Amino acid sequence: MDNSAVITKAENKQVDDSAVDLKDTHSNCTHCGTAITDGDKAVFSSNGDTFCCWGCETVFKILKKGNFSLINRPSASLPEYDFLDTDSFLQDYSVGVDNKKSMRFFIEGIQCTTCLWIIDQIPDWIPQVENANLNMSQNTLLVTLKEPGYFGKAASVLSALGYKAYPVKSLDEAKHFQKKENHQQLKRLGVAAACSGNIMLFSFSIYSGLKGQMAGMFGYLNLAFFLPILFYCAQPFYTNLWRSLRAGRPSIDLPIVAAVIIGFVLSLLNLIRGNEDFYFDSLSILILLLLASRYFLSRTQQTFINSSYMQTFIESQVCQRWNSESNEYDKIPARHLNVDDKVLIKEGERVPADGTVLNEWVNINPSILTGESLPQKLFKGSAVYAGTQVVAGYAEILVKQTTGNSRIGQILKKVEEQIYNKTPLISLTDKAAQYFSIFILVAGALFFSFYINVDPIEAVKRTLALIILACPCALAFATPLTQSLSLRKAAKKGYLIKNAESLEKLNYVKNIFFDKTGTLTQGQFEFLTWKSPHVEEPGNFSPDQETLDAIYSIEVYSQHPIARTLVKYLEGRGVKKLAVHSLTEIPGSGISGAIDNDNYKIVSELPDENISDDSDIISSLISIYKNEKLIASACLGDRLHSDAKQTIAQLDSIGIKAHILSGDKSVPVSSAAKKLRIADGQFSSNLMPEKKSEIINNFPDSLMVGDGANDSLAMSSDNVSIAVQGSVESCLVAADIYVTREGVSPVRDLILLSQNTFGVIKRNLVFSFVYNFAGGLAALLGYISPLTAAILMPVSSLVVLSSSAMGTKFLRRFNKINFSFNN
Amino acid sequence: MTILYIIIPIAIILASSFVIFFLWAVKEEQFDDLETPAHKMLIDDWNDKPEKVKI
Repeated sequence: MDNSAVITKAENKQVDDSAVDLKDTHSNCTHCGTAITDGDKAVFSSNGDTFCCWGCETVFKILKKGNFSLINRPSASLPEYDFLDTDSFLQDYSVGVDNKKSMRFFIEGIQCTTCLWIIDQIPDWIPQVENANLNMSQNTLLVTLKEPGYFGKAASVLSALGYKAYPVKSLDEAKHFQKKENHQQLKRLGVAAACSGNIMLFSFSIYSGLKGQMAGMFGYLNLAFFLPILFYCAQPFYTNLWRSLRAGRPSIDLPIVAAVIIGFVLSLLNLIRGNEDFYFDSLSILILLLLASRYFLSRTQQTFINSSYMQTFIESQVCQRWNSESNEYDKIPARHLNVDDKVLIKEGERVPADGTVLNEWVNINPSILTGESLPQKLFKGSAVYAGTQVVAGYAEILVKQTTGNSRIGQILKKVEEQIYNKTPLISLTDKAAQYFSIFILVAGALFFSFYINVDPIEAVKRTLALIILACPCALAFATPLTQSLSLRKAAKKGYLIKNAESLEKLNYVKNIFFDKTGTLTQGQFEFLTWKSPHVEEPGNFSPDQETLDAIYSIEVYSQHPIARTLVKYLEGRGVKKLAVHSLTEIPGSGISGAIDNDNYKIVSELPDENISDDSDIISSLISIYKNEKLIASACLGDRLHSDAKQTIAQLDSIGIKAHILSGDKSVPVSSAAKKLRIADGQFSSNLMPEKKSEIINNFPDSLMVGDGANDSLAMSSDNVSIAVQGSVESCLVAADIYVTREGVSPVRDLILLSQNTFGVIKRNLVFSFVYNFAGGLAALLGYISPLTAAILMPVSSLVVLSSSAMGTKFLRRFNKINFSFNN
Repeated sequence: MTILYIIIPIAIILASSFVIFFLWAVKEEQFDDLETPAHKMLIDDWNDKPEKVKI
């Protein structure tokens, strides 16, 4: 921090008398706005701002630096968010509340209260924003605008703040329905809790041995409280049962409904006959527990990113089309482009459609399609694909395929189709519970028909005891509960698992396929190291100052991304700019120039495949020649994530093989594989998106980890997939799990989490099977009366419940593992 | 035991009033976001923000 710009009160007396006045004129802190009471702690900056403390001053300076200047200029917004304000986009995405436009965003990067605080300040920073309402449990932000206002501005500010904002489709009917359904479930749960609580209280007197008229009164009170449960709270079970029966697949609801109805009728008969055998308490607890577990599970699973938000931003992007009548460029949405239109694309923008380049040259970043890390230089007449980004110069293209029919458009279409075709996996417990409930009902019916000739009353009692006791609710209840605990834990750590099935599938993963650029590596091109021309010379080589100055002076004229990376690196090293003459560009490889009497040539070369240092990937080698003699080489490339090597070694130790699937060239891919100790034959390069998906489909039990549009097709296949932080939106949609934390280690965490979760589930299953069989047998032999069964059943549920809760201990252990790995 | 005839109606009235409050809270969408309000509580100048200062 630059201390000289800030003068504390003690110093400013000597330095500048006028600064003393500042204290009188500024009674409030510029940053936090609180009144300054303690003059000794106050800080005065040289440009007249006052702060209550050093903390505020530092934060203010950080905020003012760099990207935050964007906030000062209300008109500034990033061109990549322009599409948010096109009419066609607004139609689908904006919602009108009291004649005001609102849009919902999914926000990546929400961490804690500070994020909430910063986002709550947005209306103060952007005058056009009326309200910014953050929902931290869903990571969504509802932005309401004043008239006139632009959503693009809000999104730009969010991105300047370091959050990534994805617009979410306005609440359509399905979403409205889901919200209503949630409220409905919650109401049922509340009513069931109130009623069953009171029933338990009233039943207490009967358990204590109350007899006669009083017992009858409490019985009728129980009945009164049970009726809302029977007719209102238990409704979902009836509808589910009806639906499953119509589909010909009896569900877990069958024995539940059977137990509820038989238990209710029997209790009612006993009540009328003046008997004290009521089961209202156990039935109501059964309904309450089941409702609670189902509610928590469905709440955990509802994340905001789902397939209905599939929207290709490329299609909604604004582009400039040449209008031959008015002789100027019109701004239109990319989806309105036609074949043979002429389009202008500026630096930083994405190409809206497939076409051919019309101007002399342009540098594009093709990573969305190929995942390749190096930009490509395209010359007049070469084909350019939609979705690629112009990184240097500008492009004028002739549209050959419209956006929807472009290669990227086709891929996205396929992704969407496959998502809808994904068959939901019926989870193990559901199947088990299904068969089990049929088995119990059949066994009960058989027993009843045999035993009715022996003792009719005893037959009814024993059959009922069997059904109540053996009702696999522990089975049905424990699994969702354990799963939802795990899902919740994962979500807290920034892993959004879209459905419980994915968690289950992770358990069986044997092969993991990683994308390289952006997944295993950081996805950014940067300067890595200097290399000496003499092989025998040890490390830490650096060219002399003269050479550095020369490289800087020449490369500063080049637009090539490699040159820019070098220039950016050198700028921080105190280089001087020298006069350069006779600059010439060597097409396709580099640049040459002369300084004084020395001729310099800076060219890129293919790196040596046998680089042995094990820190980074080198994708490009730049050689510097002075008077035709090699004097130094610079290594540039993409850094591996710091946790990549460790993670892959750990996965290997638990028997999971890692593979690399990359669209990049073979040299960087094989060097990455070598550094990660991935065996030959487990990595492939130069892959097109279609090919990636084909390879994955050949491996059952595989996991795809990626970040680009070129991975989304592979992700949408039947196997489970993870999108890493910073993924493109098609990936977010296609992937089953979305990670908002940097690095590769979340993959390992998720697999461990899944394995532990299923350990607990198996334990629960074994317990409930043993309990159900032993208890069922005892009931049939007459050792257990319906009343005892009704008491035993919630007890068994409680045992399973505590088993699941104890299972969350592993989650704590899971945190510890994480901690020790990270340190 | 006659006290039961007073206590039980009171219990019922209490229980039903809580249920009504709960249903009202659900309708007011108070359970839709359980996380943000917990954080909002920690930001001290929530309702009585001093005059906004533009950065």
